[in-house]
Amino acid sequence: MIFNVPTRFEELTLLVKVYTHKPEKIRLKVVDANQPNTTFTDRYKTIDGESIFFVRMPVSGNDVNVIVYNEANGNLPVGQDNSIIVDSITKEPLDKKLDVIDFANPQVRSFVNFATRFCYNAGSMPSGTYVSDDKQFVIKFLPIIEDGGVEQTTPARIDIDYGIIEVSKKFFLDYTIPNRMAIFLHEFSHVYLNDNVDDEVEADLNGLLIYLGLGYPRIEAFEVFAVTFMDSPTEQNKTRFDKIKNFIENFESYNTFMYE
Amino acid sequence: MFDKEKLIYVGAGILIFLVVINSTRKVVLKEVVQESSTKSFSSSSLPFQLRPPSKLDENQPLPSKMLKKNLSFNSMSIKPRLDT
Repeated sequence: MIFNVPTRFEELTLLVKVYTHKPEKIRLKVVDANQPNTTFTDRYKTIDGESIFFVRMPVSGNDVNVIVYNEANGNLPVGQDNSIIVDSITKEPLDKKLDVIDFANPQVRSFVNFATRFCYNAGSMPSGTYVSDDKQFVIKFLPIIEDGGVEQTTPARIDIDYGIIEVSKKFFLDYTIPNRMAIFLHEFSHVYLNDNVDDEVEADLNGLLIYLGLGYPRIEAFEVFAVTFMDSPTEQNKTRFDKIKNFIENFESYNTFMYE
Repeated sequence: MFDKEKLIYVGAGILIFLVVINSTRKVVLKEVVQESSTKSFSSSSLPFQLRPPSKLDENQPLPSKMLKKNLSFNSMSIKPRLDT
């Protein structure tokens, strides 16, 4: 089932209320109705009875398509799948915590603006080198990331001396906007916010603080880190994931800057 | 005749009720029968804050603001230091 929802580029939270008669694995995707490869969320939930999907959208298109279906049956039109009923779709204001973000820092302001525009448009942008309006930040949008002719499994990396970010288009096309944003904010934190540029956990938490403060969905942050760590399941990455999980779960009670 | 304090509480209650009602907008469910795969998209229709960032031409140099950040002994290596 695909429903069109006018969102007029607003920031909002979509509430999608779904009923099932027995436990069913329900997939929810919210995609831009006009821009290709632009997904706001792609998640599933096992639902038995009534349940609501909360989709936080700090950015949205002019109108979006909400795609809901039972994974067991595939995406069928309304009336052809009796195992699932989409009761309502409601728009609510987005809950943000901008006070945790140091917007007095011009680099944070500039990078958030640059990264937001890049993440929203990455699905239709050609490979190449992109610069922020104030020329402080550079992103190299590469078909793949290579080292000595060998393709790397990382979706993005940053040159810690020059701050140039390299992004793999191959990975980014499949990522949701929140996934892309979480990765960018992690890379940005390494060079511009961390006390220790090499500290992965510090970059994770500094990046997440901005990500969550802007109102991006918690689930997409878990997802992108989980997928990245699954490619290299080391003990260090397990510790990182535990810290990230703990930080996200406790975010609402945090009220301090993690960086200067 | 009217208890002033009660009137204030009633007024505040109505105000909160109206704010909650007006901030929640139920969407009329409009099904899309077939997603269009050939729909053309132009970034010129986007609001300014969502337009794609500037792209450098092939031979255009990187901006001069991109200075070496950490001019330390460690960073003076030939190989770039990359963090994932």
